[in-house]
Amino acid sequence: MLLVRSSHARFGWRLRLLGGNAALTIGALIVLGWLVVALTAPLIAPYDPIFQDATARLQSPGWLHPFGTDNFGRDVFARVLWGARIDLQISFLGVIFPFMIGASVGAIAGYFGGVVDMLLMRIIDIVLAFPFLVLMLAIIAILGPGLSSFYIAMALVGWISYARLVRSQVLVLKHADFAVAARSLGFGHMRIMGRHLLPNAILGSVVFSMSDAVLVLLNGAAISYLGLGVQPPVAEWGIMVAEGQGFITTAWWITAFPGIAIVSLAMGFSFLADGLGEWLGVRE
Amino acid sequence: MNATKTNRKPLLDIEDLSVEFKVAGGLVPWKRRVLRAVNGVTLSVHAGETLGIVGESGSGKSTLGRAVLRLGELTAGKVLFEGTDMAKATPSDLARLRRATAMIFQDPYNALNPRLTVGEAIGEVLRVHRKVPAGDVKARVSELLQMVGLAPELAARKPSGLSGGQCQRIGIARALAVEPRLIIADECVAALDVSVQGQIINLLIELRERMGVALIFIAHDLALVRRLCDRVAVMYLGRVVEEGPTAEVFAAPRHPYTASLLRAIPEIDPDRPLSSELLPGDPPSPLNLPRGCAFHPRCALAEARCAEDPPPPLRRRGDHLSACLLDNPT
Amino acid sequence: MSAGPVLSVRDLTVSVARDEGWRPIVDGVSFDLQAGQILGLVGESGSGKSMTCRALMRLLPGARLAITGGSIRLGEEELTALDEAAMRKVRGGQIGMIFQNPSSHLDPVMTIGAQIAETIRFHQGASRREAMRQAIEVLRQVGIPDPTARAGSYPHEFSGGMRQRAMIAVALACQPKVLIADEPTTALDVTVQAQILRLLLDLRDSKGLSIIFITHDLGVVSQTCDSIAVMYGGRLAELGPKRDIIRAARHPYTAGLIRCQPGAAATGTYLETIPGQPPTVDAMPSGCRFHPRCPRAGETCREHQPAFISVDLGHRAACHFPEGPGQEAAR
Repeated sequence: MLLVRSSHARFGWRLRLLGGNAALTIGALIVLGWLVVALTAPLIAPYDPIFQDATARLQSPGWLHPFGTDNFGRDVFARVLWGARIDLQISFLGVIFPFMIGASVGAIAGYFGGVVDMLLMRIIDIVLAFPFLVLMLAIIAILGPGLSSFYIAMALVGWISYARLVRSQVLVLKHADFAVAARSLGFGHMRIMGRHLLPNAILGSVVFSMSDAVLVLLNGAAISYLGLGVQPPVAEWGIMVAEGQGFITTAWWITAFPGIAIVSLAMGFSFLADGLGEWLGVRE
Repeated sequence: MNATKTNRKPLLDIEDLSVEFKVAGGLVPWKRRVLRAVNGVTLSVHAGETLGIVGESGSGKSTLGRAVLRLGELTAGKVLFEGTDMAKATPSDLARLRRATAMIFQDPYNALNPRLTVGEAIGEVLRVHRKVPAGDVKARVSELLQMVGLAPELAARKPSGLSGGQCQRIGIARALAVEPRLIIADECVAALDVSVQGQIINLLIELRERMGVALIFIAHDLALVRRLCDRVAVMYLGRVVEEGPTAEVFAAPRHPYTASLLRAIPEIDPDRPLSSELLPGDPPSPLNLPRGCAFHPRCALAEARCAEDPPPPLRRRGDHLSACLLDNPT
Repeated sequence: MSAGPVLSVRDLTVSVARDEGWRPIVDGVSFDLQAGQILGLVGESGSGKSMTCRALMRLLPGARLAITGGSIRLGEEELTALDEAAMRKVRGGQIGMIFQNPSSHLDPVMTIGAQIAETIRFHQGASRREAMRQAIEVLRQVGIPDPTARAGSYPHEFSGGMRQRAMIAVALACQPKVLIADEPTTALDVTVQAQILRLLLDLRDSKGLSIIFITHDLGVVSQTCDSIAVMYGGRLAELGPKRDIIRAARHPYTAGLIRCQPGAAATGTYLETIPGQPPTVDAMPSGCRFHPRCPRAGETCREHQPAFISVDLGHRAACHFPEGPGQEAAR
């Protein structure tokens, strides 16, 4: 995508990348970088992320342990690399389910309108009436701690933003000439919704999903921090921050490096959201 | 309905069709007001015939077109298409209507899904209606594109890379894919350049001759209507005020509104100055229809009785109908 | 007022920035506007007619557009040399502009009277009271009934035709010498269009206003204008007195446009057309830009840009093989 769009002039691609859409380029590079790290973690990590070396506890960053070690003697660098697998998974699965549920609900509500719309919108109002985090914590508390509970909770709570976005788009688009044309040509409701309205209505949601990924990532980290998400000793950035906080004055590296990882991935998504928005011509 | 063609049943028979919208009121938001967009319209179209519907904005001409194809709501009246009242259509009646009619829109870009290629857009119609076997879709798309004067290679392109005229031709090709017996063209050249308008009008004339498709041509441009249409209906604020053979209506309009519309056409003639008999004011809001003949507040000939309800009915003289009290058919 | 033209445009070039460099979208346009004259600027989409007039106001939309050559003289003043502050005084003060869509050019949350008064106060420094008195007077001049009451109305309370009148009032608030009208009647119904055209003619007669009237409608032009300039592909194709242009067009494009009009021919007969479509900025033909669509085009037309030369008194055309008297038989 990045190279294809910009390869026609000799020095064109370089200029295009930075001058054309810097946010998209930087965002994509950061996220792609973490993806590569996640995929190759077993190959590039110098240590086993849960191996405890009792002889090397709380080592400060150095040649042997670039990011130092934690209070159990685990290598922080290896744990940050392995953590990318979990955290990318969290941001992907935590977004895709709400996206799909929300887009379908929004499309149906916007397209059919009337009673269907009213009913679905009231459900959204009910979900909205509870504070986001409280509702999520309650659901996780009922289902029991763990990542799958977190995904279910995200899906149950997170879809409303997508539903509202897609619904408002569909409400506008269904009166556009091409949608009326589709009706005049005798197409069925599912075809009009799926093939004509949705592909045009979800652009805004795609952009939003990138900034949503940031929130999900931070939520996932927060939930793990509270002990309701990923369980120790699995390497996950949120847990690492939580576990390291007792040592923040004596061994800052235990919290700092996973913290930096969270922030950089979040920034990557956020740049990607900006860049995609510009690229697709969507204004949020 | 039509005096000269009594032997043949019309393809489309619109009887007393009304479309009303409920609009939230001005000062009292809970008190909804009724907007009468189309008000008791009776018209008919025979197979292969071209009917022009002209009027200013707010005359209800587009609403009428959409209601006839059941793309918009209708409040009362009948729409007999090949004998079936589509106002009370069952789903299978509607499916039949869709297979026999098509619409061409004003904005050529907006009428095409921006994410589908030209080939996909036209092919979709062929597939949904099973017009040709799946293997022949591509060939038929090429054939349709050539029929509207486009290169078959355009099938791979998306609308955003094409000109307005090309997009309008694609809209027409897509309409033809249905193999319709009736096409409603809603201001289909208004958004195009002058030099391209003529190309599209010629295409419509050609298709009509080759395929015998009936056409309802909704437009505000009277000069184009005169060139294209067999009959013309003039609408003002939701009512048909005059209807008849195009040549007759243009040569001897019987309703003062038609006459002033004709006077206002800017013709290319450097020696013909702007008409001094200008119609005053703007058309009133359809939310607030004047009593009696809706045209009387702007009419130079209006008398006291013109402001009395009910509005004057359409009266026939030969093939030519008009709804003016001062016009005495004998 | 001097005897010379009110507005004199020479070799005006407006370009758009592309990766490869500047690309002209208005290319060497020259014309004069005399006092009290109405000049019709006719062209299709992409002909550069609107861009020319935006350039006259130095109101080019977007940072990628710029005036890259030529001069615009308003009386003794060279507009291309003015800074932004001085240009603001020219806009509205000496040149007024009206648009196709009044709704998007009037402030929806300000009364019509206040919008006109604001312009008067900015340009003439009049007192609030005096400005409002003048605003009501301007509204009366553009034919708004009961102007004192209507001055307190908001744009949405006006009908389409009245809104267009209100925009004309805003443009004329400070008695500019020149009015640029960009498709002012395109969005209006024919009967209302006729009223607005009549108003513009009356204003010209009563105030000696000079008007540049941009339109794609040759009918409107032939009813209102004194001279006609036809643009194609960013260049002037033909320029001359109205009668000469309509009765004896020399450029094949102008002639084709006139023949394209539906006119009063019999129902069901084919219209004359110009084949193809207008070129776009990024795909301008070489030589004469009309040659791919021109029935008279020859080898020369493909290679050489025709000069904009005089073909008759005050009548110029840019064509290697112009139509004209005596040419008809030769064809």
